[in-house]
Amino acid sequence: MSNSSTPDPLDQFVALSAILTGIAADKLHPQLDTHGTAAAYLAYATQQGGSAFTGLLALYAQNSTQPPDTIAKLILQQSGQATANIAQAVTLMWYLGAWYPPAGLAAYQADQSVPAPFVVISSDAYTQGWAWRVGQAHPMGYSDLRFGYWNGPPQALADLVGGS
Amino acid sequence: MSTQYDVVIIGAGISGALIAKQLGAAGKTVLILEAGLDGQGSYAGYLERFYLAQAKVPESPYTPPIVVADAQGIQNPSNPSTLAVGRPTTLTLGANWQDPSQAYLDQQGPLAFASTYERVGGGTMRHWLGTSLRFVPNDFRVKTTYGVEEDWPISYNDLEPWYGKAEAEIGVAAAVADQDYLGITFGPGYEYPMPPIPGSLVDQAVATGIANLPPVEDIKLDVSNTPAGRNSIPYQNRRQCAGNTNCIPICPIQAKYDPTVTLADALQYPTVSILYQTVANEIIVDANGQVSGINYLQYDDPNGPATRNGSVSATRYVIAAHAIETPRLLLMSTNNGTTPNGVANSSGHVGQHLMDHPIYLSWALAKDPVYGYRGPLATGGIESMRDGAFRSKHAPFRIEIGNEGWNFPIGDPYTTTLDFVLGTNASQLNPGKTPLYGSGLVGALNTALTRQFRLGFLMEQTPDDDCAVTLSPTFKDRLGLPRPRIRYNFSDYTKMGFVVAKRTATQIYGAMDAHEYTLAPDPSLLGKDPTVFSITYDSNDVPVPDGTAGATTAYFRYFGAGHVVGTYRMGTDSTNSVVDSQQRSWDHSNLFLVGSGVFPTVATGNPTLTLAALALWAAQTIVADLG
Repeated sequence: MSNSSTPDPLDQFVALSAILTGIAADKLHPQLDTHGTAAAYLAYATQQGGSAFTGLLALYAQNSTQPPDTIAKLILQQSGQATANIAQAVTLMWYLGAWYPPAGLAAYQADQSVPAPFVVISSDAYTQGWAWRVGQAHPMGYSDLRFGYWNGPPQALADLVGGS
Repeated sequence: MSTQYDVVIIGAGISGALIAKQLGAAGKTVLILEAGLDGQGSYAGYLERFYLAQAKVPESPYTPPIVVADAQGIQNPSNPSTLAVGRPTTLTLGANWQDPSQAYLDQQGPLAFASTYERVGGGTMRHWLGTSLRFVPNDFRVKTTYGVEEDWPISYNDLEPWYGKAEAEIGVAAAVADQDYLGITFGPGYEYPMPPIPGSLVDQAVATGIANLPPVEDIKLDVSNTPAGRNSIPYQNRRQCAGNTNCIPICPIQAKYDPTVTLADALQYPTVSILYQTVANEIIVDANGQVSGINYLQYDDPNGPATRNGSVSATRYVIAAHAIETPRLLLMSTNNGTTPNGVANSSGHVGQHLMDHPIYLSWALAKDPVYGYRGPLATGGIESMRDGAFRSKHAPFRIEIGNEGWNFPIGDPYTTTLDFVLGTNASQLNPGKTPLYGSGLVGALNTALTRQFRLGFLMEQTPDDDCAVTLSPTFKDRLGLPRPRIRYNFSDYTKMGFVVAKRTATQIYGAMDAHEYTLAPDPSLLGKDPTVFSITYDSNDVPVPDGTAGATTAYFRYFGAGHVVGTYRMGTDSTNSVVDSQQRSWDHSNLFLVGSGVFPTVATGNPTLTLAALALWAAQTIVADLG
């Protein structure tokens, strides 16, 4: 969306998020973004994720012309656990509206008997969680659907998550 | 303010609200004392607290907050000794179940009482599901028919007209044609106030799958639409259900009935008033054996001490404070030693026979998508095994079909999402432990979530002597009042219901060609995890001692249904019950004890509709008493 030579950090964040989540950039950050989720998440991750998060954005910026799959593998498989964990925290933020500190994710990967700690980012974030929509449903306790909808099939997955 | 009323009611839940409304309509003067905070006008705050809760447990929206956040923002159970009005939470059923700095109940075991309640205007029905089943006729005569448990002093036919009145007040959506099973009858021309809530695709998949299932213990299983206290059309100035899949803990649009609806109606009468943050702490009995007053404490800060005390008097008294707080109040009321065993307790039965519908929870992936996480939390069930000859041998149960995927069993979609993102396998759905991203993540998660469903088997627990509410000699709340102490266990009859439930679940999944993922607890958890028990039985399903040659030992984890029942049961005799069939104390004729505590058995349906019917009946009796 930015025409300047310096990429817009929000656009970069959304493009990276689309690669990680599998949800189209124009769904994560629609032109008319009434919830402002992408901007809120960028701010939140910048604050909570510290240098790991800014490093993740820089790694993406350096490789943004690569094919998406190459970028994803570079981040998740070839740049160390700390980079993978911050990227996974970003993915989970979109899916669950919650922030999972990366150190907690690393601990959980080693031992699932102790739940990974998390904080719900905001009530708005909870209601915009993508996990439920990927399940062709809606966050529990938040729906704009109407009486009886559950008696029939849901909206198609492709319509919900966008992309090709 | 006057301190003399026709009736004083303790508790502003469903029973108290229904009775207050009936008395108000009859022009009687009524004062309600509610221990908790005002439940009116704070709906947005409840929703916000729910959305931000890390554990979206039934208590999570309500006040005072059941958790406090630490410096990292992680929410932990509030310390009940700091709360003027404490309450239990399902967050204290793990290793912390006997930690008095987290658990409100002083649980003595051997098993944990796993259900919880609210202390707030509107009561525990703030977080109810909405299930409004009538009991079946044999529930009221189970001793006579099957030689087990206890008979009620009333019959289904006695209660039938009151069921209809309760269904009108709650606003129940159902059709008579779907509900006239196992002997349930309706008055001539009766119709429910609203048409049924449509069934879910999960209900349809289960119904289709079991159509050709052979009978289980001679019982043909069928899926029934579940009567619900949710609006299928606009009713009582409230909206039609929009399927937010969140009846528990809170309907975001109040399409689900809760008792603040009736309470608001009651308070419209000029003779009905309420005091919130007012904790009854003693029932005063005079020399003639009549209740002559209620002493109470008031607090300003939910985290603070009592700031005032007072006393009120009335002609009739109604205790409607639930099956744990009601016996707590009765037992606390020793009248300086003149009622050393508490009020209304000449039988010694106050606090005895605490019950629940312990749940056997099972879960599976359907062959094809069933699209859970949509619609009300439950719209259908299998009611077929609520009654039958097998009741002489093991507990009956109803089967609730969940519409919320694996949210109840494993906390999904969180657990499975973490598995696919992180490459873990806590859900059992990522056995290759492959971390996913992009379209692979979307596809795997969609395949999992759209096929998930669960069945919950609500067991009729027997009324047993080793399940009781007493007063903790050790732990107090912020007001200095003793917290409830609980003893809890299951009989072999109850446990054998779990054995049959497990077997039945597996048969249902087999008939559906679904893949079962139910996890039995590891045997090493027995005696360590307070929600795990075992049962050993022979090839005829007869319980036998552990270690018997050829016998099978099964291990189960159970969950609470939120059905807090028993503890001041009704009966035919003052020596074996606390109240008579009118819910009047045998010992004090101007004292009524109402709510699910009067149930002699927990029966086979969710308790709300029955306790509401009984409350309406009690209201009529009280009006007649007052003349």
